[in-house]
Amino acid sequence: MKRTSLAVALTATLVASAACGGSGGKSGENTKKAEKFSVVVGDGAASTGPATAPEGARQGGTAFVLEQSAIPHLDPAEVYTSTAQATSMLFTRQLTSYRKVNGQWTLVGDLATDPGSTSDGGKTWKFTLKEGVKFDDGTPVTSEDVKYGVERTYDSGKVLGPKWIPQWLSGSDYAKAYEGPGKGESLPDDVVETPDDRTVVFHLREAHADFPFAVAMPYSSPVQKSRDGKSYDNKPSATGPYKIEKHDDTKLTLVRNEQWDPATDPIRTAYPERYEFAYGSEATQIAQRLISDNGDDKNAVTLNTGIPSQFAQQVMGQADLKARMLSALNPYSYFYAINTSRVTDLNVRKALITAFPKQQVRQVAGGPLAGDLATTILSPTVQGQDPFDLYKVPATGDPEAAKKLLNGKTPTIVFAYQQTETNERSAVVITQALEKADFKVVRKPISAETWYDQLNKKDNGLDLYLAGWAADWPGGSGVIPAIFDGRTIADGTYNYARLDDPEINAEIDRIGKMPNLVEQNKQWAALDKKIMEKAAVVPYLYERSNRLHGSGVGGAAIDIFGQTSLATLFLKS
Amino acid sequence: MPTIRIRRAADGADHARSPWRSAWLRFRRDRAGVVSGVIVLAFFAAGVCAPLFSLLYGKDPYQTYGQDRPELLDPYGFPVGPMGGASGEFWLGLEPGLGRDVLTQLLYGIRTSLLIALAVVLIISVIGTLIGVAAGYFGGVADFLAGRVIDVLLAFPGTLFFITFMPVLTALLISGDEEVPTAVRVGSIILVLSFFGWTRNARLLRAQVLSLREREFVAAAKVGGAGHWRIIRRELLPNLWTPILVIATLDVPAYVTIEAALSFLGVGIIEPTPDLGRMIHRGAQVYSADIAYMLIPSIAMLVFVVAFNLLGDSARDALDPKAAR
Repeated sequence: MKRTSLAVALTATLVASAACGGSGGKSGENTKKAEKFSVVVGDGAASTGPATAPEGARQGGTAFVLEQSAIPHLDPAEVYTSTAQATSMLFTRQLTSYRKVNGQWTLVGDLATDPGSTSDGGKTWKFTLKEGVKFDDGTPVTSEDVKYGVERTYDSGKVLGPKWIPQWLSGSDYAKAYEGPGKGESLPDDVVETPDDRTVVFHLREAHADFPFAVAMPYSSPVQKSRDGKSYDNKPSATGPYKIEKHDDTKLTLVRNEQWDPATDPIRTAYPERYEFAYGSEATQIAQRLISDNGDDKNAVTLNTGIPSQFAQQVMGQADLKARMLSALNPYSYFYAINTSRVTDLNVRKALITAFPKQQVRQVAGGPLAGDLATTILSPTVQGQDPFDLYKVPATGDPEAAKKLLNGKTPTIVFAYQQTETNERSAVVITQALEKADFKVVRKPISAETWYDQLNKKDNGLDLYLAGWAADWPGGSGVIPAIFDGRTIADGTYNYARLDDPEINAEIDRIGKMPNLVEQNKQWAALDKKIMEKAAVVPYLYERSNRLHGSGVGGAAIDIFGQTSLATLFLKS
Repeated sequence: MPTIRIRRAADGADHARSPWRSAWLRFRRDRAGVVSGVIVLAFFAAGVCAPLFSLLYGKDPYQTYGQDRPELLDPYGFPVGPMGGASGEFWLGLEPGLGRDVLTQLLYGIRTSLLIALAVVLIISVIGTLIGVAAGYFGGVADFLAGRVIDVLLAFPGTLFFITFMPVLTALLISGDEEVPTAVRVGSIILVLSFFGWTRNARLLRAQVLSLREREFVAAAKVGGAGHWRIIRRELLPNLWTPILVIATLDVPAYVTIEAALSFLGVGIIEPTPDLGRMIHRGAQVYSADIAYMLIPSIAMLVFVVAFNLLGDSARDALDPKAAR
């Protein structure tokens, strides 16, 4: 759970998908080389509706969404996973959100007229709400509703949602400062201020240049105090183009919200009349149904289900299937962390990087569709990422060069892996490759249930293990400090490499305080390189999202989280 | 199929022979039994000679050929060519993903399965016989205790228990940095299966002993002053060999499938030790792209289990000709 909640992240770069063209042929290198776009912060004009209509778009029809597991919560304060956010998109509007403007991801105002403004270098942020935005009962959305929504995120009962806003407003023990609106009190004006019906002002404790990104999640959406209560989680009031008709463990049906005005919405077009989400299918079953493309499945998409490797060749080999596949890098970057508190010899760590068989491990995980081989910690989806390759070792690993680095030594490496099938198979490949380079490998399978508990212990007794990270928005500030700040090392934190380097720690402090976001991100990329010089991790994979959709679906794309975006989807007939 | 009458007639002609010899002659007349016997022997030979075969064939089940030679697998990890990449070099093709040789995987997998199944059957036969005979022969408190223990053990939902208990047991046996040796894993599987397995043998033998102990020859031995141990060994056991053997022949295929089921469910033998159950499990995931990888281990297991069950039937017919079908 800990990790999945962190999975929510925003992508700054898209890789042009094979669906857009390119013959590909028999080779697996299906995707054309990355076209890289960073996210830019948009202006008022970009935040104005209506949203751009995709070519050939038409109104009407029922769209079907096939998912493996249900979304347990619809309450905007508890929506965090990428799939939940992609679903929430249809009925919840938040202060800011992302859209593509001329092919470039742009942060725009969703409820707000622009992505926020600051007058004092990032400590005070002001958002002005658009005119004509209403709840599904016809009540206009006011700044009080937004403030009430923010107050709810303080509630200790709402554990699943992101907590950036309360943390930045009231410090990391925000719950002590304010217990949520349950007791009838509201946040003081020196924290969140509502000077008039359409203005919200946030007074942060410290400057955060990336605050407009931090509010680009459903937890910043307005909530009507009068409708809050126990049933709110299952049927929150809607501000988006659809409202909830029915929601349980097996399905979610959405019908049109007549109060939504497309002229206020720069992101959603809402062509289908109705959405029907069906939960509880196996991944293979979903893929099979989308490949067969029969009946209602022609109008079906899946937000979260990728293409199981056994279908990869079929999908990539058939032009009609390939045309129905969306593919893009998602924010996840995976690496094999080297526990630097145990493997203290830099040359041994370099030898691990040199001997590591990235390509073979990826083949076991499904080949090129799984993602792109990594050489950096930051994913190309992170703004400012620098695609350097410090060690220049072949992707298949170089045991001879690693032996040279080891200089006759045969260090013992405790290699831990989660006992899942793919990880067990990749363990076979990794063990063989490391043994070829004269490492002694002690394999340590750990059951999936206890994996994070064991791994996140301060002294976990392990040397090498797979870890991954994705930030909540596409900047280095959500990645590097979270996993390489040596002062955070303790039980249950995420410094997987247990790297505690004074130089790195000082850099983290310095860069975090920079007021200019673009400059800050450049510096994070530079720090990425410095950490790679310390050989703290073996970069492995920038993960890729591959999503099939039915032949009747148009206007679908991969969103910034790596899920299928329903924002501008339409049905061809 | 020979009818009961014919076999009875045959029995009549066998008077001069020893019981084992006549059983053998009866068995030889059962064609299905002989064919399945040969198949079963072939499986045992395959298991025992797997390393030798691997040496002659020049492949081993651990080497990831497909990973080392990129031309053998496509970019998604599936073998290039029909029938799972079967060729003169790799007779049954390659495993998807890791690219190991399927034939040697299969032979070593059979070896793993048979080893575990035979060990379990040996242990449960010994324990089951001891407890069953003791309960049946001594009766009273011994019978009561054995009976209740068996009742309790039979009440456990077997498969469910294995799934929950296997990780617990392996966790108990390992500590610290040490990797769990394959022997410990195999050992714990054998232990858990045996712990629940002996109950059936014990029950059946207890029932047999209950009827035997009232027979005249046992009474005669008692009157003659024979001790308990002598009576069990010399009077009862010779009459119990048939049921013990029959149960054992039927148990071996059952435990081969149970072991495979455990690995299929992810609590049995883990990578890299070759295992039939895990091969089938993997096959079920990749069948649409590589049907051969599912068919090969599945058919091998099917043939073995059917053959061994038929062999068990024939063995029972041969050893115990009076038993009605």
